[in-house]
Amino acid sequence: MASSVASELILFIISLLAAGMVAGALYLVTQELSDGLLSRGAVVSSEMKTSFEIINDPENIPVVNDSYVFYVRNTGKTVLTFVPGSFVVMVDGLVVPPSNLRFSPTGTLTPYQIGEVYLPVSFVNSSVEYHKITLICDNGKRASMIFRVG
Amino acid sequence: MGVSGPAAFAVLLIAVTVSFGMLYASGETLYSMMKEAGSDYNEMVVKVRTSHLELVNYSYSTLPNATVYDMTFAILNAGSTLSPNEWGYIYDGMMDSTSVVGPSSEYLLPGETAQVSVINVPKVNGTAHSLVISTEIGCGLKIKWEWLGNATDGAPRVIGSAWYCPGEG
Repeated sequence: MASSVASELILFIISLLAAGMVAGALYLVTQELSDGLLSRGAVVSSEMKTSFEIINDPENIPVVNDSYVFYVRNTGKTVLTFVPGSFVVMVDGLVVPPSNLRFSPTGTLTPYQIGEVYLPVSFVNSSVEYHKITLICDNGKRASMIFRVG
Repeated sequence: MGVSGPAAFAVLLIAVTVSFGMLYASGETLYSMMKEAGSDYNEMVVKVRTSHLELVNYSYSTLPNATVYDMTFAILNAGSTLSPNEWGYIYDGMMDSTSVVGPSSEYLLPGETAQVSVINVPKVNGTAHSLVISTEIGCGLKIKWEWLGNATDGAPRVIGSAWYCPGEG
């Protein structure tokens, strides 16, 4: 009789432990899935709300201190990080190293705000009339403009 | 077996219920996040596609024997509502807030007209000037004009105007 109770108790504990382990695993997997859904959703949401444009007069890019000045307007619904490392700048398909760029203001661009990107004139081949500049921000959104120099 | 089976089942049932609850909450948060983002995105796209400014008239003023003149453009909103206090003005390629005077109203409703003036433009015969009125959506109205005459006498002429939106990619 006593051994029957003991074996029943052992069976009970083992089944509870097994169920607990399965429940724990289920909880962890669900938690991971849930976190993944939310973080991926946040990334997609941020991408959809991010928008910016290069608003220069394409025929007349100003030159200040040996740099072309490109005006970038935040046309999205979120604040844009506006520092050289947060953007990839390409001219005619070639990446300009961030250390050669200057941004003003440095920090962030609020919706509708206009910032300036200073690109050294040496990165633009002046013997060619038309060029294309592309800016890609940290979440992959891009803006391009074909402009004329000379 | 006794109570072992039902107890284990109860533990699993609670775990499944909690997991489902967590997934449901995440799903709902995700749905509202995406709905809001989708709504913002659609609003931005629709605004770009339905906005349009047109140059409908222009005039100039100058003093006798002055070597500069003021140019005023009448801009018609031929699209959806815009916010002139968010506009930027690019005069001869440079962002300029001192030589250009634009409307200060909060909104420019469809069909309304606004005046944008460029002051102290030098009277140089045949030299083209340009003004880009950059709206809050990134699209802009570009106007090109020139002075025809000498340093004290003559009149400006608009060469052309274009409404354009920067392309992507």
